[in-house]
Amino acid sequence: MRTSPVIFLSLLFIFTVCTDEKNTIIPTESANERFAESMQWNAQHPYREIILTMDDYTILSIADCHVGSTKNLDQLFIVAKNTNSSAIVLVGDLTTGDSQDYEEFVKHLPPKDTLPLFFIAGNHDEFYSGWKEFYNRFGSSTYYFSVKTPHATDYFICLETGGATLGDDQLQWLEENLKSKREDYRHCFIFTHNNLLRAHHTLSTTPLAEEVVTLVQLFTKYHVGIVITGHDHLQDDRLFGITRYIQLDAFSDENRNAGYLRLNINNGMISYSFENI
Amino acid sequence: MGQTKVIAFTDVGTKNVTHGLFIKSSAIGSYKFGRNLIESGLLMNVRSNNQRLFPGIRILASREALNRKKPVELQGFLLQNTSSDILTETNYGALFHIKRKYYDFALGTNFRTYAFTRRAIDTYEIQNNAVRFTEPWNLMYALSLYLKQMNSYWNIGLSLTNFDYFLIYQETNPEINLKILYQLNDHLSLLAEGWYETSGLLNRYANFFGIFARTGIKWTIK
Repeated sequence: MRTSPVIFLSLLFIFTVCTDEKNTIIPTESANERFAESMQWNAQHPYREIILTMDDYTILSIADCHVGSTKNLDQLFIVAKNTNSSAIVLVGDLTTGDSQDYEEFVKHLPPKDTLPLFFIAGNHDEFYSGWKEFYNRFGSSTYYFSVKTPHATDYFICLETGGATLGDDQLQWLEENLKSKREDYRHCFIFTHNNLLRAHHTLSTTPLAEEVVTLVQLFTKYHVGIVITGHDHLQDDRLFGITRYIQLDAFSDENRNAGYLRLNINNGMISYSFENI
Repeated sequence: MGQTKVIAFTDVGTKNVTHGLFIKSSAIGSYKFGRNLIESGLLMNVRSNNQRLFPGIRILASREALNRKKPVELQGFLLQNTSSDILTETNYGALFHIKRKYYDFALGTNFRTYAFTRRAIDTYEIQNNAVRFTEPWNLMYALSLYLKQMNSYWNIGLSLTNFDYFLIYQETNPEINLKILYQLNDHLSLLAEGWYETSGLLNRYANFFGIFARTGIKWTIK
């Protein structure tokens, strides 16, 4: 039997890459395992509700701050204080993935209970077994919180897509939550790291087309107002169906266009703006 | 005189979005005349969380040419998937395909458009400017390496690709496919394939998306 040598070379290549000690292809845990840990955390830490005495409020959101350096991050917390923001949602890639980055990041956070912060893990945060670092510091990456004003309550869902997929368990959780809870709230917002729509040609990974279809269908059926993501380091803003898909610029100090999203609820209406830092 | 081929196969597996096991069957017919080929195919749901019986169609036309006396094939195609109650996904594109003794290779591009159905537009009162979304210039690739020469009566191949008969993934979502081919006689061949799908490659960190097995038959009518 004559055998092609290239097939063995290719098998050897796959074997070598897959057993790379830095796990460049094979992650240390599955999306379902991360989701299960998030649910364990949620079982011990009740979902948060922000109660406001005013009907109007502001929430800030950033993506891809990639600490290392913290100049922009420090500035953001000053902005949040000056604008009397009700919360900040950080939609992943908080760090470059190193445990030292996590140490640095945590050092620069405002004192606990002065400003509600909501963290979501991104692909960089999970790299090099970074999920453990994230989980030990911030806990769950799949949860919801609500903002209750005197006349209405809004629903904010945070999803973990660091591995470029929700995984089937998290997808089921999302579907069940939207089905059972959505109608109890006025507005619904989704925050997650990985952008869903590929508005331009990119080598940045997005969920597979089948998952995109499933999610767009869910967001449409349950009247999700805005989906806020990062990951691609390039701002995009488009309405598809009845849902607005916002992709944030990277907030890292290296990015000349670094900025944040200012999400306002005024007189029950949603408005938003992109602000440079 | 032309040549007609029919490929029929069934996929059984699970993906993150299928809520358990899925079973799909497909039939693809092609007719080759001279250096030209036309092909069409239909996908059928046997067990799925999608209620549509026929969620996919495929139409392809290709022409073979010679480059330094070796055949190359240029393909144009259209795929449509209606795997959702309210969305359709349409892909069109072109592929350049070469086959050699121990490998075949395809490279091309596609445009993918997601669009809401008329019923969804009416139900959800979707504005005209928010009905469709197009992903431009997605790179398509497939490299298959074979243990034996292509015309052997049995063969084993390993592929890295981002597309299949009825699905095209983003270029950053490669799939690995191990296939076994066995020729029963001049007209009939059997195929068995195992597919492993990841949620991404250039993400620095990507998870499992799906796995499925395919078994089928190729019938060549001379």
